[in-house]
Amino acid sequence: MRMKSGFELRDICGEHIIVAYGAENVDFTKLITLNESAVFLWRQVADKDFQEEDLVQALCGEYEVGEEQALTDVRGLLASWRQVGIVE
Amino acid sequence: MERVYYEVGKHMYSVQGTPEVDIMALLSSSEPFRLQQTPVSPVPLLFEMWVDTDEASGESGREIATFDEQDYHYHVRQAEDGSYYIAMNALEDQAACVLEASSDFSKVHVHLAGGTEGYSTMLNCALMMAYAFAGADKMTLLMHASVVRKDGKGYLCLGVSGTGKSTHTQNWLKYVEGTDLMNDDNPVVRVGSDNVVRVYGSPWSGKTPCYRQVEAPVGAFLQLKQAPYNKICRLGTVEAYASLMPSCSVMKWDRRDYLGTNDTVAKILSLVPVFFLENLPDEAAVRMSYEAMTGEPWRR
Repeated sequence: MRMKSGFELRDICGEHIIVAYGAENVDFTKLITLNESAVFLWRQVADKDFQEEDLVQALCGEYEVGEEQALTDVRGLLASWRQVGIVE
Repeated sequence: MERVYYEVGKHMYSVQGTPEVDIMALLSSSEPFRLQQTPVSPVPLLFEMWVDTDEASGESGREIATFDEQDYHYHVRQAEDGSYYIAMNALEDQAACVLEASSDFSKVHVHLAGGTEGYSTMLNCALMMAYAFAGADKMTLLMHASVVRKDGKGYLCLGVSGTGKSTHTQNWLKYVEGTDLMNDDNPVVRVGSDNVVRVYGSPWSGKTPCYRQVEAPVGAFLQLKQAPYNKICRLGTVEAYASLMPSCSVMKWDRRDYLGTNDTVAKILSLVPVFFLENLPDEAAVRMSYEAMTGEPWRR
């Protein structure tokens, strides 16, 4: 999978906000904020193809978390990213 | 053809027209902003605009968007090199024009069409677009707001059309002594290199003729919402961002324009508070927003 084009992570006064632009996102009116660990994962996969497993490994490498817990968290995050329509 | 210079929000720009187009007459609301003398030395211009009544060279580029906004239908195309072709047609009458602009809107050609009675409106539409889009990466915003000034500070009321922005600022004029209206619809907001956010009057002010060459540091923004009661709170960063972004004239499909606007808004949020007022159109609402935004006790 891949993050859709036209979405960029910006720092707005300490808040991490996904900014949507581009002709294909003109009707995208949602406002998405990320917490620190989601920002970390976002940066791992921006502009490249990735698998669920890549995020799990990255999470385990950065945070003290077991693989099982990491997998659950990654699935939860990806489900919400898919739901708002920013991954394809 | 004569070249006319204007200064709005401390940005200078020039407009020149072919002989059948009387720029100064068409831009009468811009008179307070016109430079009386041609700048002697070359000055940096926000944009240069040329106006004629010729037919546009023809649609070119990829179709980006078609949409209706307020009283106009817009048709936007963009070529490979980023340059724009934008056709605007009034929904109610024949007024129309085509705007051809470089990708950064520093050079804009306007072709007026559809009858002379619509020229002034169309040219002002084109000017607003040029100003907003050329200013996007210069810490400059053209905002949709009604602005009052009190004790040297500007207070901007935000909200979609019909929320009561003008009503609230009119009530400030009525209930707060020493208040004046800076602009009623489209002020300019800039972040200076001194990290001060300032609001400026402009030649565009909606239905209220309020075209003033005035400026003031911004005291606060006020997002309005009608309610059967009065209640105010200061917005957190995310909510404040969600309030300011839709109040800016911006092309969402254009990365330079959108991210530039975004960065300006981010900077503003680090410097100026944004409040949210649910309100009735009454004096109590004015008292509430006055006390919150100025930090001064209500005296009347």
